[in-house]
Amino acid sequence: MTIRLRHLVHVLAALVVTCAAVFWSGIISISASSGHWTITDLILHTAMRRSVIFHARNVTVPPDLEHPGLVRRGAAHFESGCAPCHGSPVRPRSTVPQEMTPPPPPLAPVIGQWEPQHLFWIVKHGVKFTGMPAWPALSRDDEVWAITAFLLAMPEMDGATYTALAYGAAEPPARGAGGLSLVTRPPLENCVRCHDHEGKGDPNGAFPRLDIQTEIYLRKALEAYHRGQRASGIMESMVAPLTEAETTALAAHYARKAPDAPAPVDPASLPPDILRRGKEIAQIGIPERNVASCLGCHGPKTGRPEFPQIHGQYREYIEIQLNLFVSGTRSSGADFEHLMSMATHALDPADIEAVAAWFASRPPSADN
Amino acid sequence: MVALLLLLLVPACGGPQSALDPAGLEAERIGSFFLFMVLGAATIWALLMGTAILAILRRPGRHTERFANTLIIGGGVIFPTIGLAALLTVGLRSLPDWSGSPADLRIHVHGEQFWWRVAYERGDERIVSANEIHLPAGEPVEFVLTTADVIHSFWMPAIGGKMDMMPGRVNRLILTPTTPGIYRGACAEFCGPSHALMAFAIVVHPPGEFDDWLVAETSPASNSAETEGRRLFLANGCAACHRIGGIVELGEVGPDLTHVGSRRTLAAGTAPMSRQALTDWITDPQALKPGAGMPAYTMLPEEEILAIADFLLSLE
Repeated sequence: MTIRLRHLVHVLAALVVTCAAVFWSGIISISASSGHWTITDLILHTAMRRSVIFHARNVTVPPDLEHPGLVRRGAAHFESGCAPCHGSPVRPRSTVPQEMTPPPPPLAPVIGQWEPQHLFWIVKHGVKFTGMPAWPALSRDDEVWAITAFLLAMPEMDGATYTALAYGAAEPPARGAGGLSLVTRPPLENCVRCHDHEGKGDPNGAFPRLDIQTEIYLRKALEAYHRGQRASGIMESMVAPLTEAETTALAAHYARKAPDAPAPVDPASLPPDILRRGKEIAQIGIPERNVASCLGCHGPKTGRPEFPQIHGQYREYIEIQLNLFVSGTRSSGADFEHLMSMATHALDPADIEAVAAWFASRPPSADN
Repeated sequence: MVALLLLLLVPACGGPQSALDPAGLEAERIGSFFLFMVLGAATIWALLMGTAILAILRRPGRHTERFANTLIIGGGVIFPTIGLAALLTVGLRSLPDWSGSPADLRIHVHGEQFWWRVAYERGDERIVSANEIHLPAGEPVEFVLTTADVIHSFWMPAIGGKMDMMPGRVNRLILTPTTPGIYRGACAEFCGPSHALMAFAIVVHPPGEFDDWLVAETSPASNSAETEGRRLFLANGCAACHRIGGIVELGEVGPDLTHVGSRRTLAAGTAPMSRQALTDWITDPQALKPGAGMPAYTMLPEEEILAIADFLLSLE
């Protein structure tokens, strides 16, 4: 018999009806307990791999992924955000996430299969049909790079180093706890992991110092993170469970703990022309490019208590925040943030480096 | 009837911003040149129309070739050549000689979107001000015209000009105001959304009084009291962009406010200076002047803004 077009149409129609019937009947099990067939797993995994490689093709890798500050920033968040599912150098994966389909893999053996830009893309965008979430603040590439920097360093990292990076001055949880138990710790214990008991932050600039800020500035910053008005995957997730009373207490704990601390950077260690340029921008701004004077608001003796103190802040933190203002990422958080985006929008990377270095070389108690 | 209606337009020729009501040597020269051109053009127009009407009304008759040639060559070649050459000669002769400057007062005017940065230079003195031009009657003044962003044009119709401000160039203009009084100048080249709100007051002082004004303008802020308004001005970061001589000299992005209280207008001619206008301006500059570089302060309580406004008005 000859195959005619109408035969094909009949077969196609029968196929569609069968598929719809199977789909609608509920006969296909979506149970996580049964896992994937090997062939399904292979197809999904290959699709994921190809997709990540394709979509990360235009990602530019920053040059300094070994910077200790970056690795530390990544490690601290990894412990609270990633380790519960993926495990860490000191702790295996929790049992609950292992029952997901697909189960989140332990990362040390698989990191080597990816280039840094692929890791960045996965951490930033997450992976559909798996439990891997996207980064909570998609505008904060700097944070995603910190995680990437840590992931690259992790396979070689021993447990003691990891604990020091992830917990800082805080007491690590007892053996067997950790991971998800971090949310049940007293809030301050989590702040201390990065910002230290006294609010000194991290000397490598991984975390800002809080001990020079006013109570009202700290409280408003926490509230802005809480409301999602200030973007940060790290801070937003730490602040989310806090009650109003806890926010107030934390701000009070760190406020002005060390207004007389020394400058984190010795001015003598900086090139004089950078220092000169930074001082000039701080004092008069760049009038021809409509950049305002920093000290107009950030002179410690005159500015509103809502304005942060930046004399003596870490230069890495100042640079990150200035970049966020210049790119327009940080513009609608607290009441006064739009002033910063207008005042700084024309700064170029060299200006930012200079002005951050100058402020970092000033003691917090400096007059102007 | 038409003549009566046209008469209604005549009052518009006067006023503080009219090239037809000159108050400076150059404006007078342009004014009389304009009058001469209008009268000349009217005469030529009347002659032409008369000839045309005559040609229509007259019975066609024969003319000698000689008459026709004389009319065509005389009226079509010789008269325009002589007329235009004469105009060119007069025009070129009336171009001012700016090879050297007779002025010992130089005023630097820097166009910004959408205001005027002004600096007075006399000898070694340089006094920074904004959005108002003060001139001595009877003395030549050299204007040094530059721009920060786009093309602006500096025009004081009653005094003289205009002259464009071109990015990357320094343009000069020498003018001699003659009649004391208050005039109005404006930007005469479309420069952005608030081009129409980029104006300024011009004050021509009687001889001698200008020096008193300059001394006053040179002096630091008149109100040095530690008022609440002053504290709030500093605390809210106004000084990041605005200088007040003698009180705070940091940022220079926005207009100098050392003597802002004595200015006649607010925000480069946008509104007459008043407590209400100043309060509205500080609260939301964009509402008054779209595209202005100043951020809004809607987050401040009204009493803080009022205190800042009062402090600024006290700076005379």
